Amino acid sequence: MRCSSCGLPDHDLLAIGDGEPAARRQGEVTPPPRDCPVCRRRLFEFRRTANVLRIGTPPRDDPAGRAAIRARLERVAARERVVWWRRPAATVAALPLVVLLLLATVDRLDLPLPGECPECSAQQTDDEVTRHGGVSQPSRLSGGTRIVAWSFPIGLKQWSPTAAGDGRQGSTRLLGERIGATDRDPETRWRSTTGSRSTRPPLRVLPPGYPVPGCASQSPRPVLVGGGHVPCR
Amino acid sequence: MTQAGNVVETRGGVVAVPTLDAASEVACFATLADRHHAALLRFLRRQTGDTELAADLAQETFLAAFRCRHQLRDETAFMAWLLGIARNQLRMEWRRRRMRKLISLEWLPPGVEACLPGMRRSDATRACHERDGIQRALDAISPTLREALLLHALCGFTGGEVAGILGITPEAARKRIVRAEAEFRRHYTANDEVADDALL
Repeated sequence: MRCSSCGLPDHDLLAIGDGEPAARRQGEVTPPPRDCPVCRRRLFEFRRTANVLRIGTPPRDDPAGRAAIRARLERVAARERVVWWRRPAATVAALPLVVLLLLATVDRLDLPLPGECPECSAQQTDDEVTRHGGVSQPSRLSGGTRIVAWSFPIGLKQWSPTAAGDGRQGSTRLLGERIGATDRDPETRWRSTTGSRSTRPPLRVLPPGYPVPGCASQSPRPVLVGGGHVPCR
Repeated sequence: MTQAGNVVETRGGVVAVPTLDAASEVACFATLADRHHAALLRFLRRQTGDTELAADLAQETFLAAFRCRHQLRDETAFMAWLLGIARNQLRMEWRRRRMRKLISLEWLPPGVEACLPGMRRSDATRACHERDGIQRALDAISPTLREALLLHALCGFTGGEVAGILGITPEAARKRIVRAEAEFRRHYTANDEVADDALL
């Protein structure tokens, strides 16, 4: 808004009132507001509003609030002085490292895997696995895929169907392939490397040095796998 | 320039803190907090319209300021820096409240309040709010305009300084102040002309 008398914009008038240089446009001369009664009136209104706000909002002393701030400042400062490893952020950052170290240590112990029977690990079937508290096979598999199971050093198992699986990942072997359902036999079937058929994927525990049919490499360590009929060595 | 303990105060009520050890730093900052607490509280009280919330926000502001005290570049503008932090705290609080409102019962229509007496604002609070014509006029203008007006009229910053706090150009800041002032005056005189006369 501009002054109806001298044309001075309100924001420039405010700048003059604050004692700041007003933004002048080219060829524009800022008249002193004392010469213009309208501007003087407007300036008076600005000051009146400020007075209304200041008088209507007296500063209140709040000793309790100030004491609380002081106490909290001391707490914050004390926390800043805490050694790095006692800070939550540092602990969280160090946690993965600790877990990795732990995993490496456990792996070296060569503990039996969950569900692995120390006596008959190479001969377990699904039922035996279940009886020994082992992990079960995946209940659903997508068509046309092969199963690959990973065995983690501390015995966690994760089953995962994968299209690119060649049966040689991890230390678990898929000893056969999925042949799919037919009209005569609607159940999904698997054919093991020996030619026997089963409704379950022929995954096996392979003891160290177990020769895997069709695979040049050898199993690095015994791993529990359930299901299927696989010839024992 | 005056010196109070470890705090050096310059012309504009502004403080320069020399390099100190941790304990002295806390003492120093607490002195600063003591000095600026009332002014900050006054600004926050008018900006929020809630004394309790203003006190909480003032606390949070001082703590946040202490945590990032090393970022204070211009020691002569401590209050402006503090108000910048207070604005951020306020914005976060509003955001929190908006989120809380989404999952609270506040969206229920006004008639439902009758069935839920616990939801109603207490009579004392309501009466106090009704009395405060200034707060009602401030509540009627947008928060963006309100903060510009409060920084200028209540905290005593010039248009240029307000621009620095709000992060906008001086001209834009002055335009905001002018608009806010006009709107405030309109609402204030419409709401409570008696109070206006009494104050003047």
